[in-house]
Amino acid sequence: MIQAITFFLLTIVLIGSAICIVLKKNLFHAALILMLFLFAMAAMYIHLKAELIGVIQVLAYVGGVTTFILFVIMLTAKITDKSEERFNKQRILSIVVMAVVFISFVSLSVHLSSKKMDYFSEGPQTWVKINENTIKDLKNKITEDKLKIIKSLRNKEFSIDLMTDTLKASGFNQMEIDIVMKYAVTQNEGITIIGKLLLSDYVLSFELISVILTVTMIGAIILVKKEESPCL
Amino acid sequence: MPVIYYVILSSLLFCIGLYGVLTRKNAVAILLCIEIMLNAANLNIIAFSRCWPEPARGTIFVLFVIGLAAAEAAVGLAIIISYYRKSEAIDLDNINLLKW
Repeated sequence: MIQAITFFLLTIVLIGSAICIVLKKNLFHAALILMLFLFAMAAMYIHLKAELIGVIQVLAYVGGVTTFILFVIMLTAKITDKSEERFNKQRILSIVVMAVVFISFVSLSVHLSSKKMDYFSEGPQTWVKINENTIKDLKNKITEDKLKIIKSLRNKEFSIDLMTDTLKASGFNQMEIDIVMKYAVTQNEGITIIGKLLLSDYVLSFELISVILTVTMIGAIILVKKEESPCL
Repeated sequence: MPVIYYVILSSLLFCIGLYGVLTRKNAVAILLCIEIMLNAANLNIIAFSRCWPEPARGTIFVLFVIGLAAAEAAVGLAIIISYYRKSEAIDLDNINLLKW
């Protein structure tokens, strides 16, 4: 219930601020509204239990990109000139394109979700896993035969609801379920998991992104430097 | 909550951004709209990755997208500034230096 209320409030803020950014005449105001949009998006990530991404959104986007955009708006003074026409002549065509893209996205996803796909109809949730450490921690806290059931569940990922149902079906009471949940590893935002994946499965992309950022930095400096500048 | 709500929200945001990219004349306004589109895509990735075991993999892709978005904004704004030095205006309808 509280999840649905948060979602709809954030939806209103997101769509309202996005429309404001597109229609606003004064670019400085548009950039400030973009800040609001990015904050609301960070809240949406936290609502989806992606806390790390929410924090990085605030650091990289709100702190970095928006400040940068505000600087450029202030440096190019004519941007805030109010007399000019904001839109080009393609407005009606663009509305058609926008409607076609939106309808095709939504109809495709409705078509896919109407098929029997349990994961997607249940929606986003928190995932937990029982690993060796969990079993070690639980050793003296629950009885031997219940530990055996826990051992049979190890190294598989369960959503919290599914885990609770499975444990209830094998005769656990509420207190024991709470104990198991306390020691099970949450998979959503385990920073250790993300760090391990970054340096194992995705190490090539990780290195490439650092190369891209370096190239971008050099390229941006070369682009804006004055022709006759003595350095570089 | 079913994932379809998130998909509809993110496609709506993407389309609003697309409209801005197609119609605005000012180059900085177009960069703002591109940021909206990138965020809509990120929301979609996160929502889908949360529906599947191993949700950390979606997080990593969003990290890469955020890194690329920062790079894109830096290069885009550098181009805008260097063009502004030449012509004192960044109205995209009049930028045709490279037109054959």
